[in-house]
Amino acid sequence: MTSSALDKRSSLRVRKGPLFYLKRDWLLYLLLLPGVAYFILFKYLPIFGIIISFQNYKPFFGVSGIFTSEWFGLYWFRRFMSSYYFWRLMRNTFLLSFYSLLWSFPSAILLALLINELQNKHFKKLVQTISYLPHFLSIVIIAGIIRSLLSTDGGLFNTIIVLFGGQPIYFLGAPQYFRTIYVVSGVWQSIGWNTIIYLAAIAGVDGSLYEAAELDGAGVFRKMWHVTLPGILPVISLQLILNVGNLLNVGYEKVLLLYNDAILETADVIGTYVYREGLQNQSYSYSTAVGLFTSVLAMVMVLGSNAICKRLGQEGIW
Amino acid sequence: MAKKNRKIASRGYRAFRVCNVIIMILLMVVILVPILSVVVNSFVSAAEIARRGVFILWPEEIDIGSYQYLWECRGNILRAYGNTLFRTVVGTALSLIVTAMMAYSLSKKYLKGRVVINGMVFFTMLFGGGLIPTYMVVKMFGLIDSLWSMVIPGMVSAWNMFIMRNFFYSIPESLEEAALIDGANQAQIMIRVTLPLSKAVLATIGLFYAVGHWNSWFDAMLYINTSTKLPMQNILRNIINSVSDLEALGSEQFELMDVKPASTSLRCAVIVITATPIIVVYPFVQKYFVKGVMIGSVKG
Amino acid sequence: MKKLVSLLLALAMVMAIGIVSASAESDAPHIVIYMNNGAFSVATGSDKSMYTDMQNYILEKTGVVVDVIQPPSGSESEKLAVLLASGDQLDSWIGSWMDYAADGVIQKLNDYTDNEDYQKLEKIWADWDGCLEGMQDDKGNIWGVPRTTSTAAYPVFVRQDWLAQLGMDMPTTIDELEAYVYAVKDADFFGNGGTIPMSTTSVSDLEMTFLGGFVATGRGNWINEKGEVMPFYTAPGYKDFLETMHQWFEDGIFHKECFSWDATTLRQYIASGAVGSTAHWYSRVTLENKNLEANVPYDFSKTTYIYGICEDGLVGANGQKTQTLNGTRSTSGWLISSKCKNVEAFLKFTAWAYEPYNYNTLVYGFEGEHWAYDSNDPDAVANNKVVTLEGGRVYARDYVISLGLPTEVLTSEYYDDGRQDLHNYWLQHELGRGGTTCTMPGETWQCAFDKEAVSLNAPSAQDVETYYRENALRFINGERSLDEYDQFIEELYGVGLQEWIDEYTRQWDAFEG
Repeated sequence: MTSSALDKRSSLRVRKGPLFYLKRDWLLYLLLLPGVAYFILFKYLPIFGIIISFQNYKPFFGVSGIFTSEWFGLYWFRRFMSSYYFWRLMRNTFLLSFYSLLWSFPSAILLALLINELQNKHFKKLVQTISYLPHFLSIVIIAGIIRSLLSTDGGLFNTIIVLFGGQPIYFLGAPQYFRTIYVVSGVWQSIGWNTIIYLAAIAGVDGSLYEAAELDGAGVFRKMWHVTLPGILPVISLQLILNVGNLLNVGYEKVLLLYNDAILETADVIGTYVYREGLQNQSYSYSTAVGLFTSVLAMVMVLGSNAICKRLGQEGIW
Repeated sequence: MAKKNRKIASRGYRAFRVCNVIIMILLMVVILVPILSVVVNSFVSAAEIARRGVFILWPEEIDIGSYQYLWECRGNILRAYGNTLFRTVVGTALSLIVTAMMAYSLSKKYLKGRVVINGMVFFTMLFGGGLIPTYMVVKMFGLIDSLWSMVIPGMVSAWNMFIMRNFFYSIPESLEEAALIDGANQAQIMIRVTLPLSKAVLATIGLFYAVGHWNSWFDAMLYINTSTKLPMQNILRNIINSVSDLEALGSEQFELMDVKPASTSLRCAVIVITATPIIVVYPFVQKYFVKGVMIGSVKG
Repeated sequence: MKKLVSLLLALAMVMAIGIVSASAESDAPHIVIYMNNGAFSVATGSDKSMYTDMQNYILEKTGVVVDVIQPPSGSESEKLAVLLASGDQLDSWIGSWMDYAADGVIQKLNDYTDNEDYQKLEKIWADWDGCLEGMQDDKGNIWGVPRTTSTAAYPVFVRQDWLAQLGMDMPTTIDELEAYVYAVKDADFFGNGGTIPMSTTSVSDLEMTFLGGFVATGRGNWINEKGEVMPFYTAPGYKDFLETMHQWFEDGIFHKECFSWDATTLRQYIASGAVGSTAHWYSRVTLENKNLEANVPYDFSKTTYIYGICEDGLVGANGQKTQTLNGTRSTSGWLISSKCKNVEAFLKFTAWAYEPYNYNTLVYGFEGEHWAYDSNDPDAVANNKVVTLEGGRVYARDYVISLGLPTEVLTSEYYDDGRQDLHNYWLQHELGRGGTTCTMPGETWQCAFDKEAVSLNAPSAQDVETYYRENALRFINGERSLDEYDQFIEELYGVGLQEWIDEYTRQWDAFEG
């Protein structure tokens, strides 16, 4: 009740100036200081660099060039939006990360719940340790594994398909499979790692609630549904909001290693498009402008999801 | 009491437990098989990989050529491990302290200005200054080509800070109130009450930071010029991303470079030696994820 | 646990203090080079003492202190960008002068044409067609030292053992090659239908290898009757090329998945012995030869290597060589920063690095520790016949500024059985013969087109390129019927082809007039 007590105390005395709060909570502000200083120095000081998305900037102009480069206005934004492939890029980028979120987000929660139910301590540790392993593999290696698993020359999947009397499928050459490949391999790589945060949250759920539920005769699923899930809901909603901010941020490296001209229809994303443009012409302004464009969109989506979460009674980001 | 209940637990519960174990075993197999192939690949000769493809679970012949090669480079590899160890240990400690302080303050809902600061921090998750301005700031602080450039410019992760803050929200305020009555100040409450109750989240965020440091290469790639100061992950990338892949990505300039690309087995070997230490350390962190760290104190 | 943490912390601190590199302090001129020429062969980097010893050796021989920054694999351009942006000393790197000259970032070498070291370099590169010209603009300004040469990099390698089994001779025309690949398909030498009559990884591979046999200007721009510069995929004959490739694809000459292969997959197929002929970058074969020989039994008394090529270059139905010359008049080379204070020192070191003995030292390491002249050959020094030695300190070729065909042709490397290393043989004897075995890529090859101007004046150029690549592949793999080729050209105009044509024509006219 600390905060409410303090709140009451302060509300009694009508409005207070900033000095009052500074005096009252100076220790908290002191604790904040290093972090805030960090964000100002290392995140806000460089942020003026965004200007270059309205210019034609080249890296060798150095820091002064950021203020003196030729002004291009909204040229790069217009250029990106008028690209023949603009809508395809937006669609592919969004769908790729949307499907990733759709599958990897709940699956990690589910796995965390299941791991939590394991009774044998050693087995539990084993499962956790093993499920984290893919997090440590480099994406180049994962792409190599995907290729060999999907190959029509003795790849595991096609061997199974043939075993059951089917025709081998050329997975990496057909646009309709790319998203599935991307999403499934993404879940494979991240599912274990993503459980960590939920397991930590589950560890914080008040044990007496379980006992009460058990006394009521709740089974394992009802306990999950009525005790565990509500207990970790704040973490879930926070994770969800943060992830929404990343919806247009498909890392280009993995796509680049897996795509080819035959499947650009579904595989070409903003990141790879900018990468290819950069091969022809190192335009930092263009890539910064595209980055700014996606950031603004992400901002809108995050504000929306934050508002929804708050409406639903969850802690938002602010 | 709970135990008694479990005893009466229905057959359904037992069936669930069995299913659960089966699901976990299946999951482990699905995850382990490709990983196993990476480990096995590191022991297979280039000729055999050419003949059989990269998905090998049982080598015809064990070839430790890749490890021998890495052993020859042990001077550089050990030094790189030293750099990685530095950034992981110092970086994690620093990050964790600053993040916890920040998250604790921001978890106090009566703190004036917290909304502004939350928004300010969140803004940096979406908008950034880009490569060159950030580089310039790092340079301004004289960190270029210093080991500290791997620690300080990435000190606080907004993501981790928010997660920690939300965990702090869930600590019952009654506990703090008791301490407040005892005359403790806010910093003492944080150290004596909040942090001991938050071992699970501290361990989690610490793990995130540590693994993040262990796996990261981008900052060192930008800020470090002297190759002896590079951490292991950058050496790994130099081996993995050998020229052959880049040219496949379409740049004709790289086509002209005729360096023999690293073999698959060398790539796998370097992954194995890079990942093993942190995987071995992991079980020691795990003990903090024990259920119900908080229960006792709440009841008391 | 606490003890462990504090121990680790202390340890890390000590290490952090311990790692303070002592930079070479002397009055000698100091140059810093970003060695992005593909020289680094050991990704872990050189042994520290080796790097310093080599630096001192160079100082002793040339009077120049050279420091090298190793480019990070996969992020070469980002690193270069921040190095340039930082304003710290960086004297030379590899890039296209066109990207820098107009902004005054690099300096021209015209003032140094009397310099003895510059003249040495000029003399070496004068033997290689178009290399010096590529580094000059139309006003005669010299913007750097060349690195690359035009090459015959897309030969068709053919399995000589299979030729013998089929009783065929080395194909010299596309038709003979076609007969060979179809025969290989039928014979299935590799077994279980696993034989790949021809390997390739992309449409551009096929174009570089074969387009010269269908289109007069090969894989280069052509000029239409209106005098406009047109991209090669609109040229007369391109449709025939697609038709042939489509037929081959349908008949299983190519692997069904080849267009989604990465370089690693391709190399594995080659080394396994499944591939009958090749249509891609040569080094996939030459660098994989040792693994291939480990997997395929072969009698080397008949021919030296398993794979062979048609020495004079394949000829198409139009009487031209099918391969297009690669990398004509490259504008990329060693550029000198306008802030460089010691251009003479740079030239001195570079010219020194081109001398055969010094090149050997920079590539292999120290004589006696890393390499020796072949004792079996009395003329080993004259022939620069080198054997590498085991057991020396790790050396990652940090300083090989002279890497490139002019030096690579000088050194011979051999397998243990006395045959020359195929890759080395190829560099020495075949790669540089582009002039006689290839079709020239149209007449516009003499003009170095300014890519930045293209990007600004024809913003849809990249979309046009993407549209062509996607559809060319669809024509080949049969997803799209070739009856729609004319429609495809119309669609290209819809994407923005006219912009492309206008801009290239503008630049070409400016070059000509």
